[in-house]
Amino acid sequence: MTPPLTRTAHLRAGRQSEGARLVAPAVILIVAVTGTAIGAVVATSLGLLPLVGQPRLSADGFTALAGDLRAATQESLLIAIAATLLAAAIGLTIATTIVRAGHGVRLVVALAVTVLTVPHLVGAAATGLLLSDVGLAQRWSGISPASWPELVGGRWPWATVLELAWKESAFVALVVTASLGRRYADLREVSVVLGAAPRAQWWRVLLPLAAPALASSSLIVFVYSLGTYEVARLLGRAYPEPLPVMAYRLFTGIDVTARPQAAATAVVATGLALSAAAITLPLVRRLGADR
Amino acid sequence: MDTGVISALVHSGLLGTAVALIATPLGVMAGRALGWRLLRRPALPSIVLLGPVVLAPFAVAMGLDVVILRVGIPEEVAVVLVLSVFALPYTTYTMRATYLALDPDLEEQARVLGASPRQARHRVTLPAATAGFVTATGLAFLVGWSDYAVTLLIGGGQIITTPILIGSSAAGSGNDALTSTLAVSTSLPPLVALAVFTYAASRRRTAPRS
Repeated sequence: MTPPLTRTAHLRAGRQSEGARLVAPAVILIVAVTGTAIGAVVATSLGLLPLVGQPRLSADGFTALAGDLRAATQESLLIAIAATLLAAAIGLTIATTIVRAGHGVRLVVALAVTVLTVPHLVGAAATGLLLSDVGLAQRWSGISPASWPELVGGRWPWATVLELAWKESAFVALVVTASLGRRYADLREVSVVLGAAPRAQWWRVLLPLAAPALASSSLIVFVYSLGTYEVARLLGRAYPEPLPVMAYRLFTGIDVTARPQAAATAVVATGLALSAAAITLPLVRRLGADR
Repeated sequence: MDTGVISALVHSGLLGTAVALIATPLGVMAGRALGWRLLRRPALPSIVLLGPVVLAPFAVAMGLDVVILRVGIPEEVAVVLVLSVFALPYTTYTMRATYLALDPDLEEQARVLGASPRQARHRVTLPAATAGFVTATGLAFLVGWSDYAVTLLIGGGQIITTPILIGSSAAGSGNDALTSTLAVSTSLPPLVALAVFTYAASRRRTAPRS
């Protein structure tokens, strides 16, 4: 049943104005809040919105603690890259299990959804209770506290990375599973009929189908890990601290003149996340996310 | 449980509800426009609606804190606004996927049969979108319920939610029993809600479908 052309055109015009009205409230709220906030952060970092004294344009916010800022950037990148790689690998493994196995699939999915509902802060507190040098794992294993590896607050951010990877791997698994859907079952059947071995099915069918969702969910994990405060605050050591922890310490400290430096730290973190998105999004598109 | 914990649980619940009340309806509207392709140029709105995912909550909270101090907006309002913005990508894209799976013609048929646009939306489309709607509401609630960073920075210690209690307990007190109790009491309510919803959905699924 095809309506006459004029009616279709009329309908389409009506629909488009309806569409604009529908997205407007959400778009306006996001632009107003994030635009105001990021604008204020950039202005503060450049000395234009001081808490006390006269506004004066300067790059002091970025240069005064350049060494700390560099160390924090490295620490943040280390945490985010390690957590993303781990979460992507574990998430893809779980997704493979879910789409391949017949029995017990609902249990795995339910477990992944359960992990998603647990707040990161709760995960961090639990990780601390489990992995610290007087934690549950140490007591169970019988290793003395002195020879227990420094997982919490040690030289390397083990506990921070593990907590992020634990929770985000569930997210990756669910996104990838949802994106595979029926298509994988159909294509896999075809590949089996054509004689593909299980390994070939994974490489040639599952992985290409999962790639767009894997790439976009990994990007989300990466930027989340860059911007998260509470996990590294509870599980990391005092120095070097990642960017969000450094920004918080400077922003809430008693020294109000440190605010431009706090804002500069936030600007660096935001810049890194935006760059990661700008680099990854064309890749996601090329992998066929729009299919 | 002492009264401090109960009042913190109430505050967390209120924060989650407020965020869900703002982010869910806006997400439903935006998701409808994106899922049913009602926009001539969807690229820019799609990116803006996904944008908050890329931004660090602490950076946005910090910037808004600087502004509300000068403008005089109450801290509670600012916390709810920031968290709603961070919940919007979840609600919008959940509803986009939901609308993608729904046939717009159903609503049109209801119109042909004499329903007003509002009736067609509320009686035909929304009931078919229940699962997506509940998921979107739950996700938005969780953003408010489990937030720590934004509440701490903008609230400045004035807004006490359960994550704030967990944070201070885990960071300083060394009272593992208290930390664990708080962690469990924060994790359980959403899990119970999820279990109830999953059970109800599985009951519904066994009913015959057209």
